[in-house]
Amino acid sequence: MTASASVARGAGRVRRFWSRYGAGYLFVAPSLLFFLVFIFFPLGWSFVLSFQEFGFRGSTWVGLDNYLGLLRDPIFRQAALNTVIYSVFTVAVWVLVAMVLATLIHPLPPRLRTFFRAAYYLPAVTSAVFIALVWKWILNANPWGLANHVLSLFGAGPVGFISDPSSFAGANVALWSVILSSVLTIPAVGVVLYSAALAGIPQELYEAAETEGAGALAKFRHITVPLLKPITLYVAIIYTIAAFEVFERVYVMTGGGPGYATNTIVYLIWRTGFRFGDYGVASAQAFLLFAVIATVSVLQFRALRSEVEY
Amino acid sequence: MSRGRSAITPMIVTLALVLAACTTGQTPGGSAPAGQTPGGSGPAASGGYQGTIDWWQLGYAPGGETAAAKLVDAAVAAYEAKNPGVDIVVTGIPFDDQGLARLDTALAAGNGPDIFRIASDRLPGYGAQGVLSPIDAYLTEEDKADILPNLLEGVEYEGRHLAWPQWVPPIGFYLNNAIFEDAGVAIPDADWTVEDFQQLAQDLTTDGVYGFATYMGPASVNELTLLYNQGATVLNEDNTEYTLNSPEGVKGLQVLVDLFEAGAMPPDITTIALADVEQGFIDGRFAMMTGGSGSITNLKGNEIEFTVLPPPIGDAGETVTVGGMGTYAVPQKDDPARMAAAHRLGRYLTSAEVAEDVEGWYLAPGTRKSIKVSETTPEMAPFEEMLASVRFMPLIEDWAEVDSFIHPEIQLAVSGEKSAQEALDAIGEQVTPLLGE
Repeated sequence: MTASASVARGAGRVRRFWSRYGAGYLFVAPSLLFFLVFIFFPLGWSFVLSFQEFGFRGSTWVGLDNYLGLLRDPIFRQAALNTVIYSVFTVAVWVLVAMVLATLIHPLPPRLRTFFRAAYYLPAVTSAVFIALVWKWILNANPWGLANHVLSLFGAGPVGFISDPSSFAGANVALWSVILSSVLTIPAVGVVLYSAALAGIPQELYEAAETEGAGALAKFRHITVPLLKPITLYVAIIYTIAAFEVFERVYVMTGGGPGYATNTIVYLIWRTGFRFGDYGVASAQAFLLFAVIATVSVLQFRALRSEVEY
Repeated sequence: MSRGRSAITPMIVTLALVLAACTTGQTPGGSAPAGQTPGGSGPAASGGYQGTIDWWQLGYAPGGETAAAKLVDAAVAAYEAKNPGVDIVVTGIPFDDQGLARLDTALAAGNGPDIFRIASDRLPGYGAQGVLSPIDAYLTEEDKADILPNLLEGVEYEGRHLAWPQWVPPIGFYLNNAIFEDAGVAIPDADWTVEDFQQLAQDLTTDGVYGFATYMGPASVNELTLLYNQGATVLNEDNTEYTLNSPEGVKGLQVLVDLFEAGAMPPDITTIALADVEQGFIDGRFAMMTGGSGSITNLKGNEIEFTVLPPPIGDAGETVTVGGMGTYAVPQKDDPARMAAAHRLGRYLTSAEVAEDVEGWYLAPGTRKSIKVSETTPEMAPFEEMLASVRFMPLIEDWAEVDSFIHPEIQLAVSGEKSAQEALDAIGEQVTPLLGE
């Protein structure tokens, strides 16, 4: 075989590949370019920066110092613990509430079902800052906060919901209040996803169960929950990511305080990067969070994945 | 939402820095370019510069949408009229951490403004990195004689003056006259003591009214007045040692702790926002509050009758207050003529001349003897009188971090989670390693 024949065959392969897939690649090119420039490149840059001490006139390589410093930092450890507590409770409640709500609205007439789906989706299209401001007012420590006003009608309070750092049930009052404000906000995306998934469960399964004498709870437990497992996995993962990245609620409601009671990791990242200008340490914090989220997501995937087919 | 969202966190940090990739190699320094003569801002002193000056102003909204923006537009018009050929382009940046991050990113990338307004506590950070062009080469003897010496020191870092000092809003104590009147309590004199203040705060606390409120959040010094007036300081004189946990500091913090325990401060005082303190004062919920001179406009606008007093006298034995300083800084640039022109604009914006050209330009007492803000705004007089008693926070590169360690611990002490001594010691544990760097 001559070299020219080999080159010609290679060129032919390229032409065939291009004629077969070229249009597809052209279509994804803008999106790919956007991804490379605005996601991949900044991520790579951020990773490099996490090993540097940032300076206006050039950064200095510090190896693992930023990461090791964080592991020794009591404020970071407190923020990490707060984030884990927040995530565990909010994700568990969000998933449960979304599944129950979707199950409750599923048997409703189509018009009513559409109404509730739209109503429950409202929080997703409402400004997170606005929602946090409303909760700040509701939980205001003074008598003019809604919750304290209600308590005062019963001769109780005022309670420093978001200004009390004292220990309570394994965390502190202020953190529990932030968690409460989150779990009482309807998990909009979950409701919609579960509603769509419920529509895909064959009715015959429920009819067969009814024939066997199963009640509503038994059908929910033995048919609905297992068959929703793939969606539960997805919902759990996206809510875990959202919970670990909690920021605006903390920023607006408590500013991370009192003390460090409601500091979370993303709040610390913001503070370290934008207030201290310490972008190297902020990048290291971001990548530690990235690693934690990735690990938790993998664990969730392993625990919840299933081979359900229906 | 998707898995990709987890990538957002690192991106938040990085996107702000991508522009910094183009950092230009500029040499820090501070000498006036050859042939450039420092002087006033009139045509004779324009230095012959013809061209654009980019001015970044925190909180500016184009088109004169706010009162502050109107003042800026008027100052630009006045300066351009006196300096034909100079075209000033004002860019507004948000008066918050995001705005400051944008400024930092632009400075890191070397494509920042020619002049920008900045608080003095951020100067050391820029100074340590050689980002700024010091004003020393442009300071005339006239300037040195005019600017109050303790205020000129407020922009000094490692022997160089980093920015043009404009004004100083010292922290004063606002008293709501109506609440005092309703309670039948007389407004005290300016030489009131901490004991007087404590008693008043408790006497004025009634159903729906708290005697005292102060902001305890980051990037502020409000609550520190009650520690400084006892003689405490955050660091020692040469900024090498943490000293806030001194007996004076503990005594000052204990005043806040006692007031909270006595119910004379609102239950959310540890997390209340700065604006909410002022709003509570306006609404008649707080009888006294701490605040800078910037509150005057808002209070007058809401037709609130108030009295401003200096902080009560503590163990320091004299009036002591704390404050920051508003300054105009000029970044290092490759174009010496443009940099010199920016310095001349900086001098103008911090002079008595601009006050004559633009009525109401100074929203706080000016740093020069030639500026008398109280002549146009009588309520400013108590703040002007406090100027000689102002203590500034230490000018160190890591002040933002030090500041971030102070307030949470004070909040914990006030909440009763820690004693005053424990809280102040805990700050020291965080701050001391920074001082050793």
